[in-house]
Amino acid sequence: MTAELSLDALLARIDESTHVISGPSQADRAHQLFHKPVHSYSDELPENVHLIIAIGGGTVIDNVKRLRMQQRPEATLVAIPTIWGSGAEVSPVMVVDSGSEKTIQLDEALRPDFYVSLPELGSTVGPQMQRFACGDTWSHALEAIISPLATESLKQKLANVIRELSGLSLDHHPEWFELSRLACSYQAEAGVGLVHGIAHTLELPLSARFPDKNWGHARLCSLYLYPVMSFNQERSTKLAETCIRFHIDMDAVQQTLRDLFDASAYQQALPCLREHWMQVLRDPCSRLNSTTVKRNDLEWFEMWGAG
Amino acid sequence: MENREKLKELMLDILLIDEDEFSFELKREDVETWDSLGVVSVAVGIQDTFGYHPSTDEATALDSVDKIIELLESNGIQFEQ
Repeated sequence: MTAELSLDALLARIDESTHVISGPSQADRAHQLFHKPVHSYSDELPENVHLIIAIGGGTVIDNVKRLRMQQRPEATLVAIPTIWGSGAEVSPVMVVDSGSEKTIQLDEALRPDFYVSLPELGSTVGPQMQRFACGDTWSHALEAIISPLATESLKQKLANVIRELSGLSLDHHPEWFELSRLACSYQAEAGVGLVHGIAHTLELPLSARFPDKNWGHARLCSLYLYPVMSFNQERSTKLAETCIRFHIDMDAVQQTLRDLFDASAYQQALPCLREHWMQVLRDPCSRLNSTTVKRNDLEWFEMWGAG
Repeated sequence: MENREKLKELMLDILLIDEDEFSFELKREDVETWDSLGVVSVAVGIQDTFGYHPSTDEATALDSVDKIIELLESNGIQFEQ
């Protein structure tokens, strides 16, 4: 498991063999924190690196996890998330971008050794990204709790997370970081469903079709959570029964799903969903959905959008 | 729709195979998509379609269409010949 490290303890470990990597938007902040040159994840790791610090969002942290595993597996990796949602700082998972599709790779060697919690970094991210990060967290928790692989004890833990999430508004709050780490850890055990199957499939084609818009993973999870949960509820009573059994306020959950939804973005993405539907069905996450997803269910999503 | 037809439709959707690839003699080893995820999908699909929730042991033992029919019949769901 990834252990928490305080910033002071991390600063005390920094020496000549420390290599700091961040995304461009956090480079200045990273330099202020560590007084070290800040690198990009597209750079090769030097040979003498013993401590790697990755500071950024899920994409940055995932890429540094890959770099460490491939080039310096003996080095210690410390992840510092600047936004919540992905849980990348504690997960043994990374999203692999092949150029034509995004898939998930799971390997214990990917898991960071430590994470540093600096929740104030979340306030440096714009309100729209904060909202998407909230949707990402909600999608992990809700898809995992109704996953066919969720055990009773895992459902109980996820229910605790969901009740906490229900008390938070969809913007920056320090608690989002810890709750998203928990949701991510639990979903790594239970798996997720169709929301993630759609997000993994559509991210690249939508980004290619609308390069000026942000069609990242978190936005897609936020966008499809309401329609997919509506689909699941129409086919199965699992979500409703789970909410009753674990004392989750179903009305509050439904309201959050509606708040996260964006009708015009849904319409904009619909042609892409239509075009890639078979790929969505083949995605491992879709195959783990809490209800069966069929070829002709595309019509349901088309009709739902029209309604 | 009769239960045999329901099961056939379900397996086509879950395994993402065409009609000409399906038979009631189909075995797990014959289909690439009847992998470990396919085992879970089959269990979910049986519950959605026939209202019977296979236990974990039952689900992992379902390695052919024949065995699915056998399990459902032993739980009171009849399959016409």
